[in-house]
Amino acid sequence: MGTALELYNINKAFGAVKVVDDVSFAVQAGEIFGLLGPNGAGKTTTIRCILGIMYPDSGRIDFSFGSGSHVVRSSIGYLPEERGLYKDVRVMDLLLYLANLRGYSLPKARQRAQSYLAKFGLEGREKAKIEELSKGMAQKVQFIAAILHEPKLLILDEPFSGLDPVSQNILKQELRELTAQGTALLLSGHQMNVLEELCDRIFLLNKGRQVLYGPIDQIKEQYADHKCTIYGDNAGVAFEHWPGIRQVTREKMRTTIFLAKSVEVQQFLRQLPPQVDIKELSIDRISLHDIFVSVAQGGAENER
Amino acid sequence: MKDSLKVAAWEISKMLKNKSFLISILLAPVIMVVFSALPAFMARVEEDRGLQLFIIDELGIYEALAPHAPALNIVLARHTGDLATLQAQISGQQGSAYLVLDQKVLAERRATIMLGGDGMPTLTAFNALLEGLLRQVALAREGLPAQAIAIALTPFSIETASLAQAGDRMARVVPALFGAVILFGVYVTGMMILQSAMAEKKDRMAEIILSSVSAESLMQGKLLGYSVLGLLQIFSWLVFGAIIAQYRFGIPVFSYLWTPELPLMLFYALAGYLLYASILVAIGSTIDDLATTTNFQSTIMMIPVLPLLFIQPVIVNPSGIVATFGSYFPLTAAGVMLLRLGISTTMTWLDILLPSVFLLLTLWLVIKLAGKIFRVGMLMYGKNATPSEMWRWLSR
Repeated sequence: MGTALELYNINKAFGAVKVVDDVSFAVQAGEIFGLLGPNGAGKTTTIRCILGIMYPDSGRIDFSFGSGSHVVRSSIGYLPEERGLYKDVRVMDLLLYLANLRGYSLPKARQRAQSYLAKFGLEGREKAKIEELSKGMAQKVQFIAAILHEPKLLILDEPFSGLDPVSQNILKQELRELTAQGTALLLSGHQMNVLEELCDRIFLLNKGRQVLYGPIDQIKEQYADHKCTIYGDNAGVAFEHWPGIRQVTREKMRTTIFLAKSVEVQQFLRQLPPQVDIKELSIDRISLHDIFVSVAQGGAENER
Repeated sequence: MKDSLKVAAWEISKMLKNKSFLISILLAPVIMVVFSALPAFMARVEEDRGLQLFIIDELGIYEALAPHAPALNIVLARHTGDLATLQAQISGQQGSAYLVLDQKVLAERRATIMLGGDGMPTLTAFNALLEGLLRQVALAREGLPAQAIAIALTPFSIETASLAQAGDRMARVVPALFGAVILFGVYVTGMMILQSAMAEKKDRMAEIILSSVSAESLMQGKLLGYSVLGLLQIFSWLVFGAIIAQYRFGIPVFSYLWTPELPLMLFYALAGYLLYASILVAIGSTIDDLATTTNFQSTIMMIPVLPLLFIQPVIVNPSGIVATFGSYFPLTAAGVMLLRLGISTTMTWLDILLPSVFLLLTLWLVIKLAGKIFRVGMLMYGKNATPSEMWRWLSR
């Protein structure tokens, strides 16, 4: 569907601290793109530069739906990590105000707002004040405000935090529908299992710099390591000293053994000695969560 | 500009739906009138109960005092018995008092009204009457004829007038008062805009709004929206004040305001508002919690009251060195010029033009600098900005 957003060598420093260091990536229309990184990695600053809330010190940001580097705010939807809404304002008034600010037709906005409120279980709450809503409800209103004006690029920072599992599923379904219609979706966050489930491609930032960038499958292939999780009483077994074992973590009866890339899974299983207590055993490919933790702890800092 | 208008329209409609704002518009004048009139009214309720004043008169004044007493709400009674009995009679009695008028009063030139209770009634008019009669007695004892005494006791009225301010005095007073009302309105509106910027941060809305409109549009929209609200507030106060002035005192306020100076006054009011509001909206964007503002932020918030320091010297000499300095100093220019336009008749066009050019240049610079602080300050959460941080944002 083509590139919706492209960043070229973005740099941003606050005083002597370089917060974003030579970051380049592209988000395609119709894809879900994950922007990940530990706290303080530079995600929010990168997003603020995209939104035109901040200016990068150097580099260029291009939008397919605007004229080059000019930020077309009316075509971008944004849900920030810092959640909040005017407390003493009615739901519909707020939604219409935000749609109006983005230059969207008010009758159309009202119609779409009604339909989304119904979809998210907020039917009949149009005249309620925000302060009368629960935290989860307010978050749904905030999400509706981000998509009401049919943005071409949707940026969501931690969209699932604070939502119950049912609402999370509704939101996931909605995001899939939006991307199917061609919306470019940039997701930022820490909930790795959700991001792994939704994202087509990811960009992993650490200390302002690119660590990983590409399709999730390729990245997981690159980190083709496996891990073996054994549930049993193995406190006396020194897995750490076995050849081809990269790392071992223990939590009560659960032992997770991270295998080196060179280790064949079947060979590893065959070599398990009989004194290993196995009540449950599972073999998984290393998850995005494990990659993230490894990066956050500096394991893949220099990899690109 | 289109975005600014949208923000302004939102701010106006939000405030017009806000009960406390409506109360401030409609009830503030009522509250002011009630609070200024109520203490006097309540005191009068007490005084209406009257004072019973016993007089031991050895100077022959009682007859002259008696006819005036009812008008002063005093019940006079001559006491011919001994003082100790009288003291015992009124002791502890609220609303009872005695006065001894003897030779000692003339010698010491002092008379004491001794109250039975602990209340302190207002006796200004009675005291003035008594003083006149005592002077009369003193002068008569010196042998002066009655006619000479009457002349000596007739007071002279000393007034100050100005050749430059010939004509109706109200024509000068009303515009000056109007200027003061405008200044008060500017201060109130400035504080509202400061709170609005803080609320934007407190409600965590700043980032969403700034992803929809530029920081400059948001700030300008707020300035514009609150200027309309401020004008609405001032206009409603003016109408209220004018109605009371017309019906209670017969002062035609609007005809006094309809002078060639009015457009100039409105210009200075608007420029002053924009200057203060820009400073306050920028400072509001740097405050996360009003309870933990720094000394620097609190000091900046006091800027709109600076013109108050100039009121006295400008009244003494509207063309003096202090008035001139206050007119050219941007932070006081609006207030001082409003006052000078109200009371001075000797101002030249140059006196008006130069300060306005200075004020406009400063306004342009301040709006630009305020925009820089506002843009970064609005995105700062969890702490108040320090002066050094603000300086860094300005120098970028």
